Amino acid sequence: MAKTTELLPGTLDVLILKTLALEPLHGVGVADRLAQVTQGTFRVGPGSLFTALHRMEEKGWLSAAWGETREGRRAKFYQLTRAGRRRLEQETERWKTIALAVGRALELR
Amino acid sequence: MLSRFRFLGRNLWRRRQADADLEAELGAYAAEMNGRRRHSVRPEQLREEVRGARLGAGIEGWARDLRYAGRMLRKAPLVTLACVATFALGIGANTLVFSMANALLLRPPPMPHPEQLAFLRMLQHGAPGAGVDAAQIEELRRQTRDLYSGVASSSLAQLGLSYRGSAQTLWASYVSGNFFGLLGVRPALGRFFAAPAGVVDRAPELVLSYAYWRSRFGGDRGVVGQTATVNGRAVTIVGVGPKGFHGISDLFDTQGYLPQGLAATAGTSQVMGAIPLVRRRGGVSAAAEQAELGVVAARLAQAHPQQLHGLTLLSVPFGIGLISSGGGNPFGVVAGLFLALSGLVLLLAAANVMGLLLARASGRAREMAVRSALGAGRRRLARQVFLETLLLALGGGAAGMALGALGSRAVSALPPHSGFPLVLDFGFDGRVFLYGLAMAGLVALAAGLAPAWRAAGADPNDALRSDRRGGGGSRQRLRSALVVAQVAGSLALLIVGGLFVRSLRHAESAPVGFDPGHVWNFSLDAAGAGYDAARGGQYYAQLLAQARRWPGVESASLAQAVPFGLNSLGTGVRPESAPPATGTPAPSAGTSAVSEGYFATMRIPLLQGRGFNPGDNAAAAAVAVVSEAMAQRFWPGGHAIGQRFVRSNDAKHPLRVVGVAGNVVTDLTEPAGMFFYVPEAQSYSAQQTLVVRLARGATAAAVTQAIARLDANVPVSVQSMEEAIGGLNGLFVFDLGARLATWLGLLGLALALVGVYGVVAYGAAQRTHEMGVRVALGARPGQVLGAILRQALGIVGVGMLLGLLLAAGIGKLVGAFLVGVSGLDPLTFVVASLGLGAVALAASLLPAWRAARVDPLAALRCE
Repeated sequence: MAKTTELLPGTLDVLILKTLALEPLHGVGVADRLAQVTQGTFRVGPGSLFTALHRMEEKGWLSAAWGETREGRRAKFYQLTRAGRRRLEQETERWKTIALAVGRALELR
Repeated sequence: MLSRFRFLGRNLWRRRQADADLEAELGAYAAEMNGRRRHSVRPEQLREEVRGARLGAGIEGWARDLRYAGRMLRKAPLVTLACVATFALGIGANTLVFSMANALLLRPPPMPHPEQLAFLRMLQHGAPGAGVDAAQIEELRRQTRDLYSGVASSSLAQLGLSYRGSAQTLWASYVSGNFFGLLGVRPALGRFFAAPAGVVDRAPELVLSYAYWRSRFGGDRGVVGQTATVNGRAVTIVGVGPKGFHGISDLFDTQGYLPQGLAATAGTSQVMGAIPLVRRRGGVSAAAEQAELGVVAARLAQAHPQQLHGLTLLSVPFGIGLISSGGGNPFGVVAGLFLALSGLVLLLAAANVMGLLLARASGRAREMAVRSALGAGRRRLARQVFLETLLLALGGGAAGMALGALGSRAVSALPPHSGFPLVLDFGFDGRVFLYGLAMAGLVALAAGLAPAWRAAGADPNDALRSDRRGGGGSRQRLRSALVVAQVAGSLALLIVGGLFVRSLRHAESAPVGFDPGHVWNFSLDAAGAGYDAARGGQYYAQLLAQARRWPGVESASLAQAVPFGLNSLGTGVRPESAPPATGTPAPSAGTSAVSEGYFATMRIPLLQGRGFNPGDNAAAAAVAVVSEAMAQRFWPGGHAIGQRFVRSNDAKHPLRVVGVAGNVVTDLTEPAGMFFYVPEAQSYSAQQTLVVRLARGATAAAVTQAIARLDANVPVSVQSMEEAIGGLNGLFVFDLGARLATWLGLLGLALALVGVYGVVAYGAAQRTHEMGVRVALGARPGQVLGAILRQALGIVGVGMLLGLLLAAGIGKLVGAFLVGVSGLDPLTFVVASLGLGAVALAASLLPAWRAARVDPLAALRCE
């Protein structure tokens, strides 16, 4: 099992937005995809996950609709809205800047 | 942004649907996850978590807590009722007192920008001057153009208004043409005066006040355009002032307004000289105004060295300014005192409610623990308990304000009919409601914080253990401290109430120097009928001669001023032999012109010399009867008869003393001062009072009718001497103070009684087990009773000690408002302490006695 790390505050939203950028997913799908892309570094509990999904839906970044999974289960699928896509771009920029700055600071002798 | 409102709306109003949707989503998630993983997902917990983060979750939580609080209060109706009633009494007393302070001190006059309005008080060498004439107003207006947007004038006069055959006194003001415009009021009916500023208006026109229009003319709209007779002159009623507008003072209603130009021509008696009224321009500071006024006053004094020497001008804001005679506002001090006392009552009420809630909190420890175990946070629990207190306080506040409104209506109706259009409108307005609401919030904080704090601190493990004696000593200590404070506060209230009652009793029983029983005053105004001095003198002579023959009249006489009446005059006096005082003003003496027989009618003893007789007429030498106090001050040793003295307002005509009469009290707060009487025949006054001593069974109405038969044009108002003494110039203020203080004291006592009972009963219940053991070991019931009582009396004793100290502090402050009794009156202190002690003992006896009868087996089985 890979080493898991606590999520930095604010990172969950941007990660979820990123996973949804490719295709609409339901809750389980988002969790699976997150675990997959971060190679198990981050593990998200269902409480945080659904809280974040609903919060972002209320903010208008995601839209939700009932649909069917590949296994034929009924589930609620989340999709990026135009606002969500904008948000993702902004957040990505911000993260790059921060990561660069923090990385430099830590490598300073 | 828009989507947020949409979701907020969904979460709050279509909650059920949103919840169902969420449940379905999470159910599907759980099913999928549980299908492939080993640990199970609990959708219920998940649902709570997501729901807590949803938009509007906070509001929803509050709403839920509020509903829950309401349910909890309904479940314990007795406690709820007790708390609401307690709050209602406390808040009711507070809003009542505040409504009075509001009416007397805070409520702005009903005019636009009242803060710009002011009187100019004109002092000459520091003493009130004679008022101003139209020319001086005009000069003031020219000199103060930069300061004021206008200068108007008003002078109060007592007139007689005759309309369709009935004559009554009219308290009216002669006003300049710009008076209403300056104040910014509009007529409710008709119009105001039309003359522009600076023009002296002589049009025979009358504007009525709204209140007078309602009371005298029954609110008849047709009255505008009609003709009435004011002091014998026909005037046209041209308009009615707006509702709630009483003129330049808030305390009495100026019933009518006449153009200033009429004042000079009519044979009227002005009560006060004309007072300049000003409206400050925006942006003029008080300091700049006062500095500029100094310059203006100096300039005026220079221009009129005869009339206006030593002039200073003082700007006094509208409202109470006209009444208070410089140097602090007595209303403010009294209002502050009573607000403090009623605040104390409210604190006692809060303490009681807190005691009740704490007692209930121990019963609810389990409920709190269960909720805590189910995941409710501490803040949530505290909020819950506090919301309950807030609901109680709001309920109490609403009921209290209703009580207060009833009380203030009763107090507004208290002042006796005085012939003077007094305005005591302690009505509730927005400010009073706001105050009541603020008080409700404050008591909720005062009473609710401690119980809320405790609820938050409830340890589930502690409370869930089935320990019925739980709750702990600290709670009992807190409640004991509360009761100590209650006893202290209520004892202080009782003592203050007692002091006011003693003061009232003293004022009532103090000898006034005459016998008021069966004496009636018929106040008349010959000028009100338009009579000049000659005709008026004739009228009064005829009246007196006839009145003595009327059936039921034991004796009758005339007086220009009667004790506790309205037309009291005073003047500086000095013995003729003494040189005129320089620097210090001459000592002042009250005076009245009275007819032959006045001393007999009033039963004022003549100590030396003689009273007046028909020989003391206008042609005879000027004589006077002086009071004992004056005789002793000027001519000690009984040598007053035959001496002469000089009045400052008429220095050229000394008066010779022909008699010395007993002292008569004219002001209940002071010992009888110097007074002298002059013969009515030597000093005509248009306004006189027919003083009649009636035989048993005779009515004043018969006399009033006889007066009207003689001449219906002369306005009459009737008051018994006893009413006059109980009235505004007499006991009224003492009476009101004593009533308020007594009610506050009794309220405090009742609250303390409940508090003591509660804490003793609770303490006894907590010690049931201990008492059971004691009884089982052979203690007699008396010993158990003693143990409980000792604890109770210890608390009460400490409270009373603190209460005595508090009362001593307040007593020192209220000492200035008491007559004939010191603020530290030992009798009051002892009686109030004994009374409170007895009540506290009675309140402790019942629960203690119940504890003493405890069946040891039952008590031990409680384990």
